[in-house]
Amino acid sequence: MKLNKLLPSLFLATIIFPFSIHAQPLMDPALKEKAKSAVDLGLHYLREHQEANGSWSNSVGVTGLALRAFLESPRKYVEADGPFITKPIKFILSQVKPNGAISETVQNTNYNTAVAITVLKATNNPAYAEVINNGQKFITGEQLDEKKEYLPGHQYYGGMGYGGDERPDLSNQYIAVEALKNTDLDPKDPVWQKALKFISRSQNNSETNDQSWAKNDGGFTYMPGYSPNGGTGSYGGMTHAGLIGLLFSGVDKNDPRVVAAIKWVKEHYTLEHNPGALKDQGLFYYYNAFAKSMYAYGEPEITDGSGIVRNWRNDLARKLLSIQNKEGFWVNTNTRWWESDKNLVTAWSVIALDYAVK
Amino acid sequence: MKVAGLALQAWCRYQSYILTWFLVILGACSLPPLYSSQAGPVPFKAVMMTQALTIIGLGFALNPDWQRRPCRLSILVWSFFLALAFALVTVSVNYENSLLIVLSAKTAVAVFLLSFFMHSVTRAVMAQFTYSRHIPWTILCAVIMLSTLPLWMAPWVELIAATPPKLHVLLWSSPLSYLAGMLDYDYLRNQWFYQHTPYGMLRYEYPDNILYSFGLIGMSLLLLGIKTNANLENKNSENL
Repeated sequence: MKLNKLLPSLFLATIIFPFSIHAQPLMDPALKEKAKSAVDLGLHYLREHQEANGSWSNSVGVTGLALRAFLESPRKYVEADGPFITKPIKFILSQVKPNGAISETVQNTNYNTAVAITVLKATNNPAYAEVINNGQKFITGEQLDEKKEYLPGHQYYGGMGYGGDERPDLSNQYIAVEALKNTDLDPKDPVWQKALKFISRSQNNSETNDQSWAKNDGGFTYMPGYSPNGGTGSYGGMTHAGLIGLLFSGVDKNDPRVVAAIKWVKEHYTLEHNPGALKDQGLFYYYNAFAKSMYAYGEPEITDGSGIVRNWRNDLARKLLSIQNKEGFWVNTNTRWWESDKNLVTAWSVIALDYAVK
Repeated sequence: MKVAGLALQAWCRYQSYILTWFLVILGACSLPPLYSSQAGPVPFKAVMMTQALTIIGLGFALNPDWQRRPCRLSILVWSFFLALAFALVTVSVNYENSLLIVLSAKTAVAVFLLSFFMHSVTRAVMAQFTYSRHIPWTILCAVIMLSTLPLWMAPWVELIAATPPKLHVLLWSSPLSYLAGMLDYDYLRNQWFYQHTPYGMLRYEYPDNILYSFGLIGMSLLLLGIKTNANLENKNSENL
């Protein structure tokens, strides 16, 4: 090849090559289309099983999650699309309490409020600003700190629970932190640092956790000193919840707590089960938290414990597609943690796919 | 002078009631310092719940009326004073917090209704059987067993939860669930229950406060309407 022909080719290659790397799809295109169809089928199921009052399962929490599945789906549903979007919003607003909580029941007030303000924010409708603001105040008011006589040295300091019982746990903490982040709470608010204290104390990382029980695998347990799977062992659902909690509370990707958590995720990488948990328990909660934490972490691929490079989007989509029922729903055969509720599990699965195809 | 005279007269007539009432208050007030502080501050709703239970339990067990078959009015008045005791104990500590005052008021209603119901049951039993001082204690034991039913049934609750109505029958039959509902306190998800029973992973509801309250009123009035077995009147009066 003559030099005068080679030079333009080399020039073009130097321009195109970097773009070609960035243009590499995050997900197998054919699989992405299938995932989008699975989302549509899941949403169709949800639409068919909506209650007359617009809710799903007559629960603010489940309704908020199902609505979020619609709003964040590739079709980007909005209120103008019809009553199947506006009625659940009305249901949620009908459950607003004078103290700012949004819940149909005295249980789960913190969880329900967090899910509700997240989805109200996702509507981008400024009419809900006051409800969201009051919801934020309710959630931050539920945090265990000096106002509730918990001092910084206490293992539960900074934690948030279901609401109404003052027992904090990482699951509710991450949902609350996600809601506060998504509703733009001031990053300088002291709530974040207090939340970080509790999140750090739920991690099996003795380097950054001052609790005597903490081991060193980098994973997270349900709450300081307790795991529902026995002892204080780390498990998948909570490790991804903890990772989201850390990242959303303003911690850098290079922070030793995040590094340790990612190390655990790599070593226990699987979508066949919820690693570290008792058989099939909290499986779909795991898929949902997995998708959100991997998306927040921002790496399209990670290398698992066997040295195999994994594309989490492809793996998650393949797994969820393989276990979707023909009618469009997902459900867990293990009924613990409400995972026998098809509406809830379908909402979680669709949201997970929404993140995969983003 | 006239007031002092009336007070003296009231004291002479009702001193056993007054002393018992103060003893009940003392029992409820002595609870918070007994809590262990190792696990951190005890949720105030948990404290209020145990105070309510103490007042109902002590107030029922030590009721001076059990020396005879109580009349309807004394049941009503004694239940009212137990509710007043609860309100005094809780509001005196939380008088600055309007939310807690509302919760105290709601729970005082529950204390009144539960106490009224327990006394009505006892009176109805006494009306049907020969008088015995063991009747109130038997009723109290039965109520304790019923209240703690969610605890005893915890190992099987996941099987029961497969049919949600059965789970709710189990939970709602316990007066603790009614008290918890009045207090907006999810006691089945408190630390001990969460870590030692499967309730935390199940979906359940507390009973509707208003319906439960009217249910208690209705049943209490029905029980109070039961007339004493005529054949037992004489036997009972012989025993008194």
